[in-house]
Amino acid sequence: MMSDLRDMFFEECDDLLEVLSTGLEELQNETSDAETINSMFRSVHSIKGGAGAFGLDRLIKFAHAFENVLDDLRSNKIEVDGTITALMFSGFDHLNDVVDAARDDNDLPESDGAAVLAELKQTTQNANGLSGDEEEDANEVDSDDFVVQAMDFGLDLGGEDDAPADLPGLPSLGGGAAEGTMLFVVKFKAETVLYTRGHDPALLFRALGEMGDLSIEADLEAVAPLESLKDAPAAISWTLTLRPDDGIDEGAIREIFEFVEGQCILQITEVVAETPAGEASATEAEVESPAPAPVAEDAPAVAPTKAKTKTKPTPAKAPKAEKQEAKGGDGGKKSSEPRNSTIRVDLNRVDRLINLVGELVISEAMLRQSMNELPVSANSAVSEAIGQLKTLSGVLQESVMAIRAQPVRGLFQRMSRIVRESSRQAGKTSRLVMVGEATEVDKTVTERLVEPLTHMIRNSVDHGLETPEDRLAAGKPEMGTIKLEAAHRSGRVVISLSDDGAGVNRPKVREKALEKGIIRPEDDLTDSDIDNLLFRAGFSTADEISQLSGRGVGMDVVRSEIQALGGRINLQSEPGKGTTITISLPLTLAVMEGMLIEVAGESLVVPTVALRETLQPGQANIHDFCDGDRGLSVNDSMLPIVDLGEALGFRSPLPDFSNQSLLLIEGESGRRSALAVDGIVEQREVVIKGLEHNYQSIPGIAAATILGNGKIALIVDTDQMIPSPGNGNTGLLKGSDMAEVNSYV
Amino acid sequence: MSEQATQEQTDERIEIVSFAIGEQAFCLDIGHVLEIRGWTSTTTLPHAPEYVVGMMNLRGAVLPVIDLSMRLGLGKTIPESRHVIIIAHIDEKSVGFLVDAVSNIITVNTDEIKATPEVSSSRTAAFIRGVYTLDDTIVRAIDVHQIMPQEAMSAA
Repeated sequence: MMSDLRDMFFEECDDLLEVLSTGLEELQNETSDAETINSMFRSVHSIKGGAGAFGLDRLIKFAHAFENVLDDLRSNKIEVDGTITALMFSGFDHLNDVVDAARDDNDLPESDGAAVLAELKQTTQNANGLSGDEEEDANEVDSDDFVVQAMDFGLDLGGEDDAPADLPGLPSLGGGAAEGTMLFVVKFKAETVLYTRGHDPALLFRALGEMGDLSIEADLEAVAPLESLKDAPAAISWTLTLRPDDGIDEGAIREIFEFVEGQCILQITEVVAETPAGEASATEAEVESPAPAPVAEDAPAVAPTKAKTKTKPTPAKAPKAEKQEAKGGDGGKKSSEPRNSTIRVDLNRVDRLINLVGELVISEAMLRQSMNELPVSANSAVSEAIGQLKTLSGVLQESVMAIRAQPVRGLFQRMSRIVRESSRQAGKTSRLVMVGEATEVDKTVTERLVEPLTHMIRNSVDHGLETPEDRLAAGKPEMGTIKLEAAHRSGRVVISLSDDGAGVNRPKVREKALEKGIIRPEDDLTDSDIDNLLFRAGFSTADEISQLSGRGVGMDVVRSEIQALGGRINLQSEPGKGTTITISLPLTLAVMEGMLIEVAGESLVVPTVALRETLQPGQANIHDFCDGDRGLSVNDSMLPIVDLGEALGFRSPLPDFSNQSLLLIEGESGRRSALAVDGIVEQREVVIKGLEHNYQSIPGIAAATILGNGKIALIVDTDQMIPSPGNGNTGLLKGSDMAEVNSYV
Repeated sequence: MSEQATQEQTDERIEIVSFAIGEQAFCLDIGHVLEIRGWTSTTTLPHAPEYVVGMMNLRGAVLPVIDLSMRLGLGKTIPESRHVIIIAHIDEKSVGFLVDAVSNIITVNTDEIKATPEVSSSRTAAFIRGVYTLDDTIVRAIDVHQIMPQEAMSAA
């Protein structure tokens, strides 16, 4: 239970940090308003509150210092300027670290973030003219505060914002009693037995609410801290103030509580209200319950509860914060824009759903196929229904896939930190501009993009941007700009990273490539060819290996990671203007575009992403070599031909390829080969099914898919079908007599 | 005391699914068996050991089908519609076992199992956990963990 809550807290933390990050961006771009700082304050505050519940002292301490600065910001004790924004960013980065450390139960070195913490504290002190001692006091964390806050995380998971704990005592907001009106003050304390017998105070209060205007206040003082909270004994008592409708007397009120007689402590007092009435308060106890109007002396004052008391089974709530906001705007409550309501779902459940829908689509295709074979095709009603089924299942599949999609905002925000850190390390100033953060991509894709993007950004800062002096000399602003952009384009996601740096130094790249033996002196390379040399293995232009990048495992790793996601990467550069790297990715990893082919009676799928060209039988210009090796001449170069049926061990080598279709494929290394197949059926979308889960990886095969007829087709791993240089075989080229081939090489 | 002993015995009663391959009877712990299906055609796997018949589609899951007869050294099965596939879940993996026929579900005591005779075949020693004697029949208990395709054997 506790660990569930803890997990939930950290999930909330992620969301809160995202809000904070968005706020920081707005601050930086000077698009912020009062609500920006309010929402940032609330985020940090909620993190602090949750941290209190789980005893995460380090987090509490840091969040507290952070929160204080934000508090000063929103009360205009501090002006937003560059220094503050920079401090906020460092604070945010450190807060991320502390949250991560707490999540993984790691100990951060005490020195980490000490400077930031000190600076935050200093800022608050300066703003408030506090001495250091007082500040220490301010940092003393009042545990009571947090115990109450903990309720928000533990029990109010609906994501409603909490009212900050340090609000001044709740203002009495239009109590709901006209001058001289009769009020009933009902003191109600449920005994444990009331709950065990299945009664719910909420129902009683609701019944009471139907008799007039009701306000409810819960007294949580007797509630144990969360760590030691038990379901018994019952600890909450309530003070209910009713402005009765006509004809309601004490007897009627007692009647409501008749059923729970002896299971509660009930005290009903009749008082005369003295304050002017505010607007009518809600009639339903659960909806709204303003703090009680100052009532007569004989109604014992109840300590105003600080937190919203949605503690089950407490039906009462502290005053809704809209009122506070209306009052001063500094109460800190909901942002003005409507919240999208969301639920958290285990990813496994979603995947199961996706699998089932995939099945449905296949069954539907099978049904359609068998319908077509039936002679009764004249029956239009059936075919119409089947047409509808097809449409529906298509829409269903799309909607289900959309569940896994997530905006790239979170990913981009992580990258903004990378930009800050690497700029600092490289001694450059730069900022990250994000475009299209709302673009949605499959969750797995965003997760697997973190590493390559991090590397690309480090590269951009380290190699792309010039030093501030060089920038000024070149007539550019001192601060470099790195732009991260996401967009949907023709069924794919395109993410591009551009910098306004010096662009690729082509002569240097060429020189380096020669030195490393990647190219030959006589090679005639276009500018674009040279630029893309950066993606070759073992290539690094940095003269010295810097801390940031330049370990020589850079862009080729990025490239292979992107290709593993079914994506393509491309680099464009303009000398003096900057470099743009574009990644194009499939929308989801579960579906892939593929070419259905036939080999030796088996159906196979070749991923379209690797496919460059197809040649029908007779079109190709094939040349024979030793041992049945064959080459295909294309545009003056000779590509090896791989007989797919033979490579996969389905059959012995074919004596001649004149009836074979050829597929030109290109692997991640940029090398090409031609696959000889018996026939090309069609291009189609296939649902990818992994083989490793129930079996093991198979050489030459990437995954499997299920065709419309229910049969399984294997998806060819094209990279393994391309002979690598020097070591002329892939281990698959010659199928059965592989060992023999090895001995020839 | 005796009561306790009886209690212990009942605790160790398990159910086994017995099935036939040729003239021989074998069995699996029912806990491993997910379902039993008729033969459906499979997709041939490249570079697979000969006892892996291919991949089958079980309501959207792709799983390998193993010719148990071949795996146990009893000769290759030429699958036809009378054959049966036992879908089992072993070590987090789902797998189909191609057998001739499923005979029965029997409750046995775990201590009724007898050691495999010390025969020369390493295959017998590796794949057969022991035998149950039911009426006049010897039912060979399969060691499910050993019978699964082993990773190292793939490309060879």
